[in-house]
Parts: sequence; C-alpha cells; structure tokens
Amino acid sequence: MIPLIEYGLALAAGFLAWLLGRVKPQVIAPLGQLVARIMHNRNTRLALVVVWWWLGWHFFTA
Amino acid sequence: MYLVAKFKEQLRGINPWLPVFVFVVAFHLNRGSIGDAIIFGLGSLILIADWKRWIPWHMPERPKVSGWVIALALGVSFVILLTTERNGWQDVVLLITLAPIALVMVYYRDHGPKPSSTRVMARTKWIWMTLALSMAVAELFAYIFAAVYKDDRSFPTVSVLVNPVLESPIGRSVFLVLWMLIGVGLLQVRKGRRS
Repeated sequence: MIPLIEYGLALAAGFLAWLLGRVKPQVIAPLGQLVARIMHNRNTRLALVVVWWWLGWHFFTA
Repeated sequence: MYLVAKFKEQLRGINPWLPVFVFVVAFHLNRGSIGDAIIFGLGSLILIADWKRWIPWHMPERPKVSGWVIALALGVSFVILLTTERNGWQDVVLLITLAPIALVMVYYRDHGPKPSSTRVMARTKWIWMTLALSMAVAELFAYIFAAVYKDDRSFPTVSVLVNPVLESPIGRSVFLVLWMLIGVGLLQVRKGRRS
C-alpha cells in the first residue's frame, strides 16, 4: 500500500510540474525545453536512449 | 599523491551516467536478472567507448529523418508490439532492430555552445531530478521489502503493477503510445528535421 501512495504522489507531482511548465513558464521551464537542454549533451543522449530502450525491452518482451 | 593524480587523470571527462549504469548492473546481477544486467553492461560499454574514444570513427552530423519514415517506423512498431504475443520473437527482433537505430539517432556531434543555464532551468532540473529520484527510491524500497517479506502484493514494484495492464490490448496500446512519445521526445526527431 505504501509504495502505491508513493508512486501516486510522484506521478501527481510530475503532472503538476508538467502543467506548471505549460501555464507558468517563468516559474518552471516547460518539459520540452528541459529535454532539449539536457539532450544537448551527447553523454546524456546516449544514457537516456539506453534507459528508454531498456524500458521497451523490459515491458514488451519480459 | 601520484596515484591520486593518476586516478584523477584517468577519470577526466568521464560520462557522469557511467557510475549510475554500473550500479544498475550490480543491482540487476544481485537480483538475478541477467538479461537486464547485460543490457546495462552493454550500455556501460557504449558510454566507456564514447568517453575513451575507443572507436576512432568520424563523429557524424545530426541525422535528419523525413516525417513519413518516422511515421512508418512508429506505425510498424506499434502494430508489431500490439498484435503479436508478448515476448514473441517478433517483439525481440523489433527491439533489437530499434536499438542501433536509436543509438545512431543520438550519436552526433554536440552543436554550438552549451546553452547557459538560467535560474528557471536550474530550478526545473532540480524539481524533475528530485521526482525521478523519489520514484527510483520508492521502487527500490518496494523491491527490498517485497524480497524480505516475500510479499509483492503489499510492496509492489512498478513492474508488478504494470504487467497485468500490459496483458490487455488497451493497456498495452496506451503504454506503447507513451513509450513511443517518450522516444520521439528524447530522440528529438521532429527538432532534427527543423534544424
């Protein structure tokens, strides 16, 4: 039960941060800008793509 | 002192994600998930190869992919992953095919100076990093408690929650769309076409 509350809170906070980035970009930058900023660096690009691919592998072939 | 200096020199320019990947490899080995350990082990090797310039090939420019190719790839992947049996050979072949394509899409020279970090961007990074870490810690503790108490119903990991959803066509299609949208966002294929 406790993990469910934690996941729910994290997801709700993520949704809130995404929404805030859309309506108040002077407070939190929009998610797209953040992604563009961190993906400017090849180190991060390589690492995040490996993680993304693993998610697909883990959920769709496991 | 000499050894410390030598060690620092060896670590210069290290990809900061590498220690994270090595920890993930150790974690998966510890829980007996050899496949996941191999994936992150290969990922670590890619990061090391890039860091140490093991492969002296020419660093390419950012690839530009036309819209219909992206749409076709998304459509074919969606149909295969949705309609075939989960963990079928078709899924395995598709994902193994996607891996080098995705790597090629992000393996290009960094363009221009690094954008300066504004206060808003720094705050945004911290917020999302805290959220991601919270999620990872919650998942880690759920895994540990489930293993200690032999009870993954009271302490479910994300996989335990998501697996039944993925067995239904609707659930799987929702996750597929989410996964593909994240991929398109990360690979920034649309931005690559504009620039």
